[in-house]
Amino acid sequence: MRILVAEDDSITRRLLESALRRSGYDVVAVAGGREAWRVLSGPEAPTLAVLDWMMPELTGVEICEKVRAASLPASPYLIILTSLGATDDVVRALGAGADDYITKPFEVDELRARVSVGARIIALQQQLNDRVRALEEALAHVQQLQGLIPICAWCRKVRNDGNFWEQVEGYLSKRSGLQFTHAICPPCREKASTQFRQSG
Amino acid sequence: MTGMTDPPIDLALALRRVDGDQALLEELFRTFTDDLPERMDKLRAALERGDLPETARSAHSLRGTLGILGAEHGCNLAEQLEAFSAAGRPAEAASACRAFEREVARISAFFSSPEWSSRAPR
Repeated sequence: MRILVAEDDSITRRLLESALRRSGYDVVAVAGGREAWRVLSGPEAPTLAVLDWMMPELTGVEICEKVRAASLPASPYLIILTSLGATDDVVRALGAGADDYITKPFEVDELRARVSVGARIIALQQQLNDRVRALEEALAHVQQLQGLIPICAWCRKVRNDGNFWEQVEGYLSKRSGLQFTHAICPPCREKASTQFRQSG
Repeated sequence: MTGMTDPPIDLALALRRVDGDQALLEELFRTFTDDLPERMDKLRAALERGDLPETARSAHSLRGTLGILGAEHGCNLAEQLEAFSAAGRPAEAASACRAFEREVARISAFFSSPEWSSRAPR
């Protein structure tokens, strides 16, 4: 999993990088708010970010606001890093769109624990998105079976969306997952036997 | 409570903050020592020109760094300087800055001693 670390203090940034890399994460580290926003709004953006509150150009809280307002394709999990710690500041950060916060100076164990909570929530969100996508595909198939289907009165083929005529079983299989076994009903068997005897 | 008579750096605390990684701790201390003159110049310049918001920002940044490095007394002094600056009280900020500079000098002296890293608990 890719994690963005945005921290202007080189010592804190190095500590964050080292601790997260040792936990097996792929870390992208930047020193300013504008660079952090460029990474988060760019292609292959990290799904989790640790953002320092007080950074030049853009603060961590301003980045949270921008991320939530931008409706990015994948909404990242945002952790604000602050040495402020006052209740009002925590409420402000969470109100701006942060998912969690860590107070400086932090213990590496706490950092890892909070990041792993974020990773778990991202995985759950991904599972939910996959489930919704599967349901949407199933719903699209059901909708294709609704309404009027043109069928040939003579050969019983049906006309599909591409304006081609195809066997009714093929048409239904593609749109519903139905499977067919082939047999001959008694009246048709009688008719076929008669034709067979006459031809012989 | 820590003060002028205690060592300026709590190495056991600093080591815990880096998850026991001695090499990383030494790297962080080296970075701190390299960056310190420039950061202190920035802080003093902001205070001298009466730019208290910038003084507060510089003190805030140093406070975060010193906290990671286990410099608890330095961290507390930086916090005082930040609070006076943020409150727009230049006389108290100047006094807090002098105390902070004395503590920073002790921290620098601690790291300039060649055997400091050997004092870290193993």
